[in-house]
Amino acid sequence: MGGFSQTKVHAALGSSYQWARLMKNGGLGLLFLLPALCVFAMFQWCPIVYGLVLGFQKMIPGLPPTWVGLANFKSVLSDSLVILSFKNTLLFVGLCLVFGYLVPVVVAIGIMELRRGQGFFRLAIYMPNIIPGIALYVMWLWMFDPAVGLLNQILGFFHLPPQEWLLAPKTALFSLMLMATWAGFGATALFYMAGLSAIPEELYEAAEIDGAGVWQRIRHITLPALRPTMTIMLLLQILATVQVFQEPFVMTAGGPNNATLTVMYQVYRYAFVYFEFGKAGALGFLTFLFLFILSFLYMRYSRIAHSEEV
Amino acid sequence: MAGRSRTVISNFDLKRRGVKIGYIGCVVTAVALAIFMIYPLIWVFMGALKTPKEVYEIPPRLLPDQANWANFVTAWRAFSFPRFTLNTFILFAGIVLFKFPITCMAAYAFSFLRLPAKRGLLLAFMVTLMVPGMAYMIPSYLILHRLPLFHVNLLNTYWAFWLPAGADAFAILLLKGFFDGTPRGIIEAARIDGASEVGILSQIVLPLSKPILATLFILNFMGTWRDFLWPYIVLRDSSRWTIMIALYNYVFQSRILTPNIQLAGMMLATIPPIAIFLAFQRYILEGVTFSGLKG
Repeated sequence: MGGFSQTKVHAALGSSYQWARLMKNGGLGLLFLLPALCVFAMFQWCPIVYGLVLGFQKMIPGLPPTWVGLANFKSVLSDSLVILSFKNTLLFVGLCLVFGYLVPVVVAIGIMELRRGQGFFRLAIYMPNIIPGIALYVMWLWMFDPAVGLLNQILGFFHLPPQEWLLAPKTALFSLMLMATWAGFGATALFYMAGLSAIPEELYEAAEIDGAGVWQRIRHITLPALRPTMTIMLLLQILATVQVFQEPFVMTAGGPNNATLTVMYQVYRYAFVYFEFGKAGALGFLTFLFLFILSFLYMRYSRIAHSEEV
Repeated sequence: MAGRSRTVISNFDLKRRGVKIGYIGCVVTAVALAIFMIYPLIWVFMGALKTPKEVYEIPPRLLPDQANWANFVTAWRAFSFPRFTLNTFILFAGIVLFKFPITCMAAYAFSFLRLPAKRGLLLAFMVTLMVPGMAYMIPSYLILHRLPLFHVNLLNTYWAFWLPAGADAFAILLLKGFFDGTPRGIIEAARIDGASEVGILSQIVLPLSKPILATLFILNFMGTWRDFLWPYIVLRDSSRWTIMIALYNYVFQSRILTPNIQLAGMMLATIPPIAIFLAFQRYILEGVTFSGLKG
């Protein structure tokens, strides 16, 4: 089969010399790229385009899709659960940034200063990152338990009133944030440490000789040097937390009373609970648009910041 | 990082009283943080060793009267670890057989071969790193439900996991970055000696790229072991569940197991990643600083 088609191609090209030249001028490269092109077309590029189109269709698996214009977007945006999911997601993103964004910077700077045991502390804060997601949820399910959980034991130790954590609408989202921050903290701090270790020692040396104090060194050397890392981490954390889904899906099923219903959870429900793939596509499209604009703004901002430095 | 002789605070600073107090503050914070991170792990481990009665005991105690190691055996059986671990390994074997050849060949093409519109092609691959993962989930599901051109339903088969996994721009990026460091002279010499491109890739470039291949191998194994959402959506049949799907179903769906057994199962599912992490720390952290950019 392969040999046959090759001779056909040879005949079409006239001579094997031309065939060899075609191979040399990029044909061979494309041949090496072919498997990747196939899987990327099928499972990356096609889904991206499909995801954009899906929101404008009424789609039930097994039936031919029909075009419905903006109907999906209208019904999605007038769904009170969607509005609630926007609020919950924004609150979650905000809470995660308060606890998971600035604190790791401080911790990273602090740990880098330690004269002894740095390796141990790095390992200790990174440890929770290694626990697989579902195992983490099993663990925290019992940590959160109002009767026997560790968190209420800790509150009791400080003579604070016990909480219901995942079971109360007021604290459920906060609890998920606490768990996510505990689990993701170490990787963020490690990332900052990599940035910190890239700062030339001579800068500190020179600043000290010139009489700059410790705070001044942190303010005028460490933080400016860390700024690019901090901006990209801000973007990455927002991108990741806006898409929060697995935690509420597994631990609270969106409850209690939809207090942990996030946007992506609503997308999942549209698709796999109500089988309204068109609406799922529309809401997914809106989220994607939001994240895309955010990334675009970041790139513009960082380009401006970059050109200012040059 | 090990070779650093100084950071913000110099040894001279430490002789000053204010700085010394600040430094002690750093140490105290670090210790408190380490306890905050490690103590829950110890607490959970002790929970796995308790009897159900001890778990529900009030006031709670950290240590059980005696360590019930048998809980781990019970969990091993209750979660059908042998079967579901095997499934996880089948998923990983597919990754090694599909993703590695596909991405290695693509990276080789980008590094060493002539390509029409090379920059544009590379951009088309890398753009997929920017698209949030959730945006793929539903279209990919529908595509697998009815594969274009072939019109077959791949849901509930391992292909639904293997095929999308092959489209990994991050692996291509990592491999291309490493391949680019291979001395061009060796490649040119091999070409002059008449070696084929496949030969150069398999005999010269890949053997020189063992560190990055090892990193990818480990990261992919950890990834497959931890992966939950996508396998859960496409592998609904319990005969194809992975460990994580089983853990989810047995703990959060059908609440029949006692907490000590749940925690023992959780511990068993956590041991392989922790063991691999401790053994291959260097390779993994190399990848983390990179994958951090991926988000």
